[in-house]
Amino acid sequence: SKIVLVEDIVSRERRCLEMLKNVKVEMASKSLAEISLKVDKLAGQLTALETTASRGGQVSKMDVENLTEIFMEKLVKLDGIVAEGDLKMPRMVQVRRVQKHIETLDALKLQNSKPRNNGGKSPCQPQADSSRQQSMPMQ
Amino acid sequence: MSSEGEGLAIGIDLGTTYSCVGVWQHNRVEIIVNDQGNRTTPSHVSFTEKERLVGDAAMNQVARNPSNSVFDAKRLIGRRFSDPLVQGDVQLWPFKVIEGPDDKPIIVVTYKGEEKYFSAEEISSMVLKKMREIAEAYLGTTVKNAVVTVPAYFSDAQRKATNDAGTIAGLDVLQIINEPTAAAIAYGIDRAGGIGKRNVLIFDLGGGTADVSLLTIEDGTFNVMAVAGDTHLGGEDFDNRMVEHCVQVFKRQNKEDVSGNARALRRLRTACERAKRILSSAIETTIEVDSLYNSIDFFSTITRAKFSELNMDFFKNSIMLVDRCLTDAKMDKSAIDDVILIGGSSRIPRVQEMLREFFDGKELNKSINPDEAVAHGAAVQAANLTGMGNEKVNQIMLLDVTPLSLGVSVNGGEMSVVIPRNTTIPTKIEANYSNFHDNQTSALFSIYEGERVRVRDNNWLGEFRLVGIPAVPRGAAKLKVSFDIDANGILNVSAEEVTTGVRRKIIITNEKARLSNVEINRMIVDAEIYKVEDDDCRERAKSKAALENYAYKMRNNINDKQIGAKVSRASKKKIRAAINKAIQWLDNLDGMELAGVDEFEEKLIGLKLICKPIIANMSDSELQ
Repeated sequence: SKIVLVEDIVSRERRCLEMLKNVKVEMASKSLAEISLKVDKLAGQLTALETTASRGGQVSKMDVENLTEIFMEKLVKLDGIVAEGDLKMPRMVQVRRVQKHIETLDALKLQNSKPRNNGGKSPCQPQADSSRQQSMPMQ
Repeated sequence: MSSEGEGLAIGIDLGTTYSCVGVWQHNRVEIIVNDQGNRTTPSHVSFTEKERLVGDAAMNQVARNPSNSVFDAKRLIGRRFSDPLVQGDVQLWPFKVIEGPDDKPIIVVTYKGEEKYFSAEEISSMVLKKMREIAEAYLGTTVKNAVVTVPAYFSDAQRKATNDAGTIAGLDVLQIINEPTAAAIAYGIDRAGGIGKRNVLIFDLGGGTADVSLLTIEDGTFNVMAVAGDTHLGGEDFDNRMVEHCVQVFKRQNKEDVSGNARALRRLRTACERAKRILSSAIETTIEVDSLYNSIDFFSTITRAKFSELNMDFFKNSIMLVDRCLTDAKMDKSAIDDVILIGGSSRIPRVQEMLREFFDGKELNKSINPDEAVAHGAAVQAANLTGMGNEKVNQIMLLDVTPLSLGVSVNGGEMSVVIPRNTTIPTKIEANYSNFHDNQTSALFSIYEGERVRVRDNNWLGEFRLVGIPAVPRGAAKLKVSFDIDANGILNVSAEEVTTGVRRKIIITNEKARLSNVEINRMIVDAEIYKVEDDDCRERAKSKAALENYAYKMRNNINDKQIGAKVSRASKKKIRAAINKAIQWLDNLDGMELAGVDEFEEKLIGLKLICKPIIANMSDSELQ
């Protein structure tokens, strides 16, 4: 009896396609990880702003708007990731997280725009200034 | 810099979103890369607390500083603030535009903590200056001369404003040529000679504008037969249609309206633009946005057919421009030899299909680079005008046309056309008028451009009064008006009373929408100041880096075991103290604006004086 070796072209093609798909998935998850990392860092800045505000300090409108814009940019980047299957969930998690941050910033802005209504929240101006400077090095 | 660059001339494609610069060298055009290694530079200018940025640097920090990042100046240049197109655009821009004197749009930004006002010409001049610097860095000489391109459908005012922007940038604008004409030169230069006479149609569908030009190329003569265009038709309009569609789909699926939510719309727009690009190669794609609105996801598939259906009227309009262009040139579509596509949106398959159908199945030519063709052609024309090119370049002759009819207001508001649209320029045409009233001793000449019958629907360019007409009955005085357009498409008007020889003349420069000479001169001075500030900022950054580098290098040296062993404890302590002092000083500088170059240098010298004698005992190879 003889053994005939036949190259299975179909399966080779399938392997190639599989490989391409894997590369795509890998790239998507890599960029997802990158964005998550950046969002982590930005979340730190947000916390600093929040702390300032909760201590009764004045948060500059510019800081809030700029941070919102940076989060929006990340959100648009996240939308650009082509996620299939397993990656869909993590992307969704990140999107929700960024949206939550933006909501927090909106709340900060709202609170900021009517400090008088909140009564004693900002007791004295000089303190507000010094705490604002504390948050500056984070940027 | 040497003076050998005196004769050199560059070609600049001043685009709405991107600009590109080229130069004729070694018998071919070189598209020059910028400091970032890119062949096109964003037409962005941005102002920060510390400095002014132009090009890639400005674009990169748009997100951090949206209200002080200016782009799309080309959409404002030479227009009035009350122009409905300007009003529409102002709503969409993150930067502030206000009404200035004489209905001129003024851009407001905060620069170094101060509110500053700029005209569109100034912003464009900053971009032009950047392009000039890119060319100078590459050529190693100063460059003064340039050919700048504008859309074929730009009005007289817009051309003049572009010319002014060049002047403010310190450039000698040799000629303003039309973008499609430049593209035709890029296409024709390698094919000139040997192909005989060819009729070429340039179809330019970009992000914001659509332009169609018909040229005849013969032995290096580029004769523009007709132009047609729409200053607000392009890729951005297609995106908007898709967004509207998605909003409808979302409403149907979820009974929620996202049209009032700017952030959701922005995400949708980006997703739609991406889908649009994909649909140029794929038949179908999905638009997917997680948690678009109230935590509801958006998911929809869109086919190429659906996309075409949504934008069919736009596509049809662009084909109608081709038809109008052919009619104006009195040419049948079968006479067209080449149809050349440029502009990003000309990649849309349905548009290509419709064009092919229109030309009865003719194959379209996509052989030239849509992003660089215009700068390429401008560079060739620049070489031609300065006589720096080879034989082929020097035999180029450009015969362009006026995009809009030009005329005067008569009989209380009717447009009397003196120069019909699509007349070859330069040209001089005279027309005769007479007095409207008995014993009328003066006549007001109002000059307009446009195709409408009533002047109030057209574009007002300027006016002047001819006085000293003899008192004669109505219709007896003979007034000769002469319109003279130069090669840049810029108009000169003069009037004369024939019997007495009284003359009046205007170059349409005092037009309200345009800058006065005084303003231009002020802006030139301002531009120099900004440049000095930019340079100063760069110098400060350099000297700060030098000090930092030296301090850290020395610290590494004495911390190094081998080197450190050769330095006495006392010396080490001395160096450490000096370094720490310097680093602390640097850290305490919030930003750079607080210290001048000399301060950094002084500190560096001080530090060196302490470190040198100790370190000098060692050979260089021992040091890091």
